[in-house]
Amino acid sequence: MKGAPCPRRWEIDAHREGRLGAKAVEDFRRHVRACADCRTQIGEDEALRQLARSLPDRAPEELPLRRLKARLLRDAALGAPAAVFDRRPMMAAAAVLAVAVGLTAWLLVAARTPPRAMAPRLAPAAAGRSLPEATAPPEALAGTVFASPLARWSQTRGQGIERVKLDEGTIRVHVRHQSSSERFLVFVPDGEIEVRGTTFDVTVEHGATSRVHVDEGVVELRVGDRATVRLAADETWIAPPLLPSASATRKTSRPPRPDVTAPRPPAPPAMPAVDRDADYASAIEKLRKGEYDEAAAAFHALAEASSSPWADDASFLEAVALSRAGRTDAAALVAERHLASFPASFHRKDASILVARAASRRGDCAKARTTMAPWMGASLEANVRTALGPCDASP
Amino acid sequence: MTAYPHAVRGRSTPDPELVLGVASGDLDALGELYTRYARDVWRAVLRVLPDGAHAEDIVHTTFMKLPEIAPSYDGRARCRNWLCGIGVRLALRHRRGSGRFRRMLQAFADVVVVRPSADPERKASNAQELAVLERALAKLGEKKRAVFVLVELEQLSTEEAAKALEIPPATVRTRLFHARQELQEALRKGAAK
Repeated sequence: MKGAPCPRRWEIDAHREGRLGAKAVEDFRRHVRACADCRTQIGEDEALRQLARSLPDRAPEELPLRRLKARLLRDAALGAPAAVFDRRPMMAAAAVLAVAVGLTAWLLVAARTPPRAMAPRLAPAAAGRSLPEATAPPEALAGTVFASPLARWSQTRGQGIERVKLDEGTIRVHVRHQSSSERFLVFVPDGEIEVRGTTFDVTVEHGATSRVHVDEGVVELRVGDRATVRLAADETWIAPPLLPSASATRKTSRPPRPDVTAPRPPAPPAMPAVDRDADYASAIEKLRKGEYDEAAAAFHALAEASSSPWADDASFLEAVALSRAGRTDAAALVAERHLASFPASFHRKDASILVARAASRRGDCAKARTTMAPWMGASLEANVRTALGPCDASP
Repeated sequence: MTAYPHAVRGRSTPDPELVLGVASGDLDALGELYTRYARDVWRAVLRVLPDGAHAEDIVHTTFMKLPEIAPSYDGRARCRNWLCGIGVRLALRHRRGSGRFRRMLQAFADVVVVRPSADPERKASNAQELAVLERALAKLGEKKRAVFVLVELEQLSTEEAAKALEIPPATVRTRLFHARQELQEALRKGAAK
């Protein structure tokens, strides 16, 4: 039969956490040498600790982490509220149960009540008027607006038309699908945006629309005297820049980047992240157009901003742009830095190819082969073979 | 030729400085803290919510709340531990909320809560013990489990866990003691089978 536990067991944790004084530590150690119960307990605690720490790691993969980072930075920039936990399934279950119980009760009552006793549906006073007038409740809003802290905006709805007026700042709007009799309009100082059911961001700076980005659905943008622009999901409209001075043009050969050290104008914190989205789109556009040096500089600026959800991709695309510009060694250098900065990058293999290709051209076969080692199985894939070039055959 | 220095701003910045940055609305600082610790917070939250539901939303909320609560960070606890503590506390709150809701539903009608079974393909050599421990951990009361996760798995000190859960350190020790007892008992029973 097991005896009573040692009354000094509580000192085990105190000793482990360093809460005992020097004298008490010595005293406890002497006690443990003589106390089998404490020794067993220490062993069991440690075994449990080790076992618990070898439980399977349930940490998320890289992709959900990156997706959440993008969501977090976007929401933080827009000043959106923290996530509301989705209880819709439970609410739906509750609603179904409530309806079932209600229906059963009604059926029971109805079964006992003669049909003639049922009251007319309309009160006599309302009978002469049309139903909508008689019963028109205040209309529920179709759009949900998240605004940046300093944004100036308002939202009204009447007779099936909802109007959001944005004077300054950034808002993110989610609009439920509109029926054929409904309209949803966002009025900006220099135009209007019409949507049917969508989620999008719009930014107004200094009284003019500067950017519209659509996440889902379609919006129509009518700004100033320009033709109507139709934006689909993942498309961004950016206002053309005002005519810059000659000196300003020279200074901005690289895309502007928010500088946290310099005093900022009183803009909402929405701006940095929103600007980075635009910067990224602009850098991609430069790459597509073949403006490789400008694209590399733009991607470099994005890669430097740790709050940018694009930092990983931008860092790799900087290397791609340099490679396309024919600057193989510079591309390899940037690709190496990308691999060091983002060891779990999705572009790991492609970045390695850029590094290996440059090494192979320099005749540094050892480096080329080491870089491509993770992808050198029994048979080489074509792109790995190309990256190794002459080093493929060398011992 | 253009030089391309690649030192990412913030990567070498100490945590307390980043927390201060977040308090003043610096998104770069928020992004950097997320990159450093989101995985740890997510893991701790998943341990507290055995079914894993809403873990992503809880991690999101943890970091979204940072600008608001950053001024309360006194720099004494490690930032990672502080964030894990916040995540676990939010997970507990969420669990209590959804628990109340489930109880309400159960009062209405019998609701069967299906829990995912343990992974059958566990590769560790002590697979059976791990499976027993995982089940026992899932059965542990939420308060005891939160303390066990923070102290034994995430390696917070008793004081850090107490601060994170807003309870006295003595309560942390008591809950930890009972959590260990229950888990060890479960392991003993598992071994005896």
